[in-house]
Amino acid sequence: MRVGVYVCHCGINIAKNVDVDRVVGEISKLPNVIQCRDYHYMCSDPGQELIKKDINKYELNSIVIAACSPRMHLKTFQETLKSAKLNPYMLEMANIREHCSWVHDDKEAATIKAIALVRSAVAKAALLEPLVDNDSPVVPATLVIGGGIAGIQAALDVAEAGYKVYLVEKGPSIGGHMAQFDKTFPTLDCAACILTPKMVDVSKHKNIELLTYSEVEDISGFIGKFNVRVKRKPRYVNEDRCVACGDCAIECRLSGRVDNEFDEGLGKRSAIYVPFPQAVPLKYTIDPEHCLFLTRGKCGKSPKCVDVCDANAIDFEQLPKVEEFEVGTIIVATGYDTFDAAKKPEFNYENIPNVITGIEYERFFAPNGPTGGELVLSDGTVPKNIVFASCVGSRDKKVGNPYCSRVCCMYAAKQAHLTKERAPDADVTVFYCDVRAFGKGYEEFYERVQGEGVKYRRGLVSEIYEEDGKIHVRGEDSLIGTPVDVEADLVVLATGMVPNKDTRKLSQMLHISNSPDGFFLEAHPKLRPIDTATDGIFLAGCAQGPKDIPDTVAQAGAAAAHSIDVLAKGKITIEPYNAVVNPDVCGGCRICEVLCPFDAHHFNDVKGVMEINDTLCKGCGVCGAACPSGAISLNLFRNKQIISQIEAILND
Amino acid sequence: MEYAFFPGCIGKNVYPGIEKATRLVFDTLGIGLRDYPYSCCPPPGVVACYDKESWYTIGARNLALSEADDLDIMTICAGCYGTLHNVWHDLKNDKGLFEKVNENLGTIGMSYKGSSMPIHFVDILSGLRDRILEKKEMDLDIRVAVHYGCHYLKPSAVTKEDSEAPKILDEIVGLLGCESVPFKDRLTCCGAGGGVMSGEPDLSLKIIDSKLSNIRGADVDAIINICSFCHMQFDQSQKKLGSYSIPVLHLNQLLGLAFGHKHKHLGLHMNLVATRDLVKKLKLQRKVKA
Amino acid sequence: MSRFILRPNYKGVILEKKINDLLKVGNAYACIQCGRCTGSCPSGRECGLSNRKIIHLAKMGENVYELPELWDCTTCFTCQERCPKDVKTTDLIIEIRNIAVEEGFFPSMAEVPKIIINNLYSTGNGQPLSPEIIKIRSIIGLDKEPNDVGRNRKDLDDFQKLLDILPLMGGGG
Repeated sequence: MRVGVYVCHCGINIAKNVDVDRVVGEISKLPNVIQCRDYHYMCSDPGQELIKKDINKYELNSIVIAACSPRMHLKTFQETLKSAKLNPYMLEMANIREHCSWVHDDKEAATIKAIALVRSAVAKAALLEPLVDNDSPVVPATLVIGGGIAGIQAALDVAEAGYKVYLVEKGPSIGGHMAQFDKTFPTLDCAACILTPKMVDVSKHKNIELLTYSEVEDISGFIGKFNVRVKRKPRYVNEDRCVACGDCAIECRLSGRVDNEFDEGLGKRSAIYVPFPQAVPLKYTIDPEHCLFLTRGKCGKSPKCVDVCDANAIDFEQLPKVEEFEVGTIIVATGYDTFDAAKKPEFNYENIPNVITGIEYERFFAPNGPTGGELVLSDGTVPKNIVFASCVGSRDKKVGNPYCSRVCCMYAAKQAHLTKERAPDADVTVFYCDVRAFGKGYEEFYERVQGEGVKYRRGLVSEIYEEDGKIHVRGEDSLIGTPVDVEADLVVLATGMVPNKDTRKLSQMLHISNSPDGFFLEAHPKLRPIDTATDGIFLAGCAQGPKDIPDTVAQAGAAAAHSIDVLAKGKITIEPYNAVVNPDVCGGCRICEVLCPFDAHHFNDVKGVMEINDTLCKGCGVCGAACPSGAISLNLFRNKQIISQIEAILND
Repeated sequence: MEYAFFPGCIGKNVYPGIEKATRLVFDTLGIGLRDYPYSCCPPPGVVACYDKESWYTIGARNLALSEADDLDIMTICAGCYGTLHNVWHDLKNDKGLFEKVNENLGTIGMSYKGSSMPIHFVDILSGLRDRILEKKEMDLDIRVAVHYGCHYLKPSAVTKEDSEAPKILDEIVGLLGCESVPFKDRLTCCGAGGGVMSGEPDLSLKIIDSKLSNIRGADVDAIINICSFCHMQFDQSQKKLGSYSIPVLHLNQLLGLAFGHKHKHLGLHMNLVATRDLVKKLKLQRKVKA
Repeated sequence: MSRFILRPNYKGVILEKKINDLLKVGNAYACIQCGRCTGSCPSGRECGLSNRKIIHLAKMGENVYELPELWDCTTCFTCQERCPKDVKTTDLIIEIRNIAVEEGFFPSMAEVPKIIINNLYSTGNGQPLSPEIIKIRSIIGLDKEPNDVGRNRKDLDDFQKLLDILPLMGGGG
């Protein structure tokens, strides 16, 4: 082997704690080392040129670069080798920055360690083999899981680029939480007015197949070729026949008696329903948990819906259907759930009817809500004293949610504004800790709302109780420095966001992780907030973490773009960081199959040996470690390579 | 079942009716109580606030006394429970503290292992509901205001019952036929702890005055507590404030009444706030049922 | 018989390190000054004690040891229960009290707590027996004197020996 070694100063990042000249001196003496140089910034153009020139001049066939972590510049240097017509896998990096100069103070010791690290890299470099990337075809379709604003936007963007989209939504209609809002901050746009056109676009787009009232049951495969199985729940209504006239809901025996989820339980519906009048698709659904016919086997003499449906659309015989299809990429846009205020018993949310959550209050203002948009309590009175309590279930370690939910300060301000709009003489107070008005127009909106007479008291609510029919809110006004006890007719708890309850199930199905707060984990919090650790699976919207609508739409567009990247290339390149089975040694014990976390192993019944799917294999090494006959080895981490590295380190 | 019995100063030396009621009730329930040469717990308010090392050491001495007999320790005052349980918990988790305390105890030839666990009597009663019903001689058809106090419920990192929505005391008085009446701020402190009763008596009275005013609004026959210190605060403060007259009973005294013991044997007549009317009412109920 | 002794007042570097270490252990650096503690406080309602303010003053390096309201806390732990950042609010008040006593910042020793500690030393109990109680105990059927550390001379001697070495009674600790 003809090894070239390049030691980087990285400015003073390495050179300050490691004597680079000495490293070069020692390494030059090693066998196989034809050329050994140092340079200030190996990753720069001149640095890379140096390497390329040497490869050609000295006919080097294996390169060692002693510099930063391969996570920084491995790809950079692989490109360097490629452009010098050398196989990019004839490269070994020695990390003498993060693993050496950055973590030690003793320059002498650090230099000796650096020399050992480079020596080890040289030993491996002498045993490297040229490896080849593989190509795999990509199915030109995307699965979007979740039909809220994030899923809708992502689906539209991918569909517009000319690719097929399967949009799966578990509720009977798309729209998500945004459909429940009245106005959006800071522009006070009507949520439904800006959302419904997009919803209609989705239903009309020739590239989008909308699967509502459906859930993803299983996903297998890998980027380019995911196999998806979706369960389509039965509506008990024939979608082709239903014209959404609504007669069934009016006549239903349970009309006005079932809690309406869309109204957060404040309003009622029938057992046969559409969640809201602008639903897409506008088709009725029968709720199997309440419908008398489905739960008891009979509904009076005959079900009223059947009697009154001119289109003959009711079909109690409907069964769940399973649909299977392949996609190239997946976008997870499953959104959020709202924090359960019952978890803060000191607020007495469950005991006092007029202590409500933010999303419940939102339904008061929505024109399609239980009060028709009027600000009126269940006893018919208009509240005169309204108090908002910020940070309920957010920034709170006691309920396991240390994070900030980002949108509550703004939605409380918005709801305070809407309150003043309906009841200008009402006393509206927001108990806050910090007002997070971070977005475009947000700070201005906060000032506007204060100008409308909304009082901001600094201090979070400690407890809420009822006395003589009045609600009392206790806290401290920390700017004045005294405890306060304020009377209210209505208290709105600005509850935060929590991960959607199906997050864990989906994580396991997709082999993606969760961050400590329970939301889906992005590949890198700063630079890769769209990707996940699994290639081909992208995140959009609140599924990845609390955010407002502008950020959600932006992220959805980004997820669509990343998806389109993959679909447009038509094929994916798989790097050879994977395990390889030697069929002559494999005894067919199948231990590796059970252990593989990525389901990459496949037993060849004919040959009686294990085979590994290169695309699924991530090169984690578990199978290699477990194989009792040593039939499995890892490309770029072969046993003889590792042993030579260990020997090199110990050979002082 | 047997426990080392830690009565605490107040249950012994100020309201001995509480100690007596405890002995009677637990005997009826078939639980053995053994005595040890305990000292004051020592109080979390007046000692822990002045010097924690002294507090840990004196507390550990008390905990160590029953280790040789492998007995857990039963408290009847939540102040004592607060001390003994927190001392036990902290010494379990802090090696340095554990060694320091043993070094101190070593000077009088004692050592602390941490094998005896302090348990508040309410937790023991919670596991004896069937036996309580069995031994109950009569239902006490009265309205009561239950006072949980603080140290039995908090800090919840160390205690069991839900500190914002506890149920155990309501359930136990319910077993005896009592109606636990809700009242404003029922979970608030009695104002005696933290050295406030002795060090800031005016503030202490203000706090208990609010509580008593709320309880009076609920129109109850008695205040039931699970802490001798709260008991002392509720009883003595009514005398000091002069405008209240609500009988104060420790839960064991209430149990004693339900088990048919005479009120004199339970020390009820010793309270500063007369319990005469309550006792008469219960006597009448008994006659009617008979 | 020992008496409770206040150590001579010395302020200095030792104090700053002590309080900073305690603030760290008690998570005080996580405090966002939300005020949930003060809003929950039974004393705060009556006399304006603000645990939030005390924590802030302590973090800023101000002298919290001479605040009279420091002694208004009943250690009910409600604030610590409700703190969303897991600040050990009550524990910190107790630690600050410890420092105040140890460094001699205690403004004036209230008589009654002193009596309780002296009772603890001389009888083993903060609340001692009295002749009336002895009578009542035997009337209701209890041992005249409780079976505790005070009953046996040897036990009490040992107990006092133990107290002699503790900081509470001015010992070395």
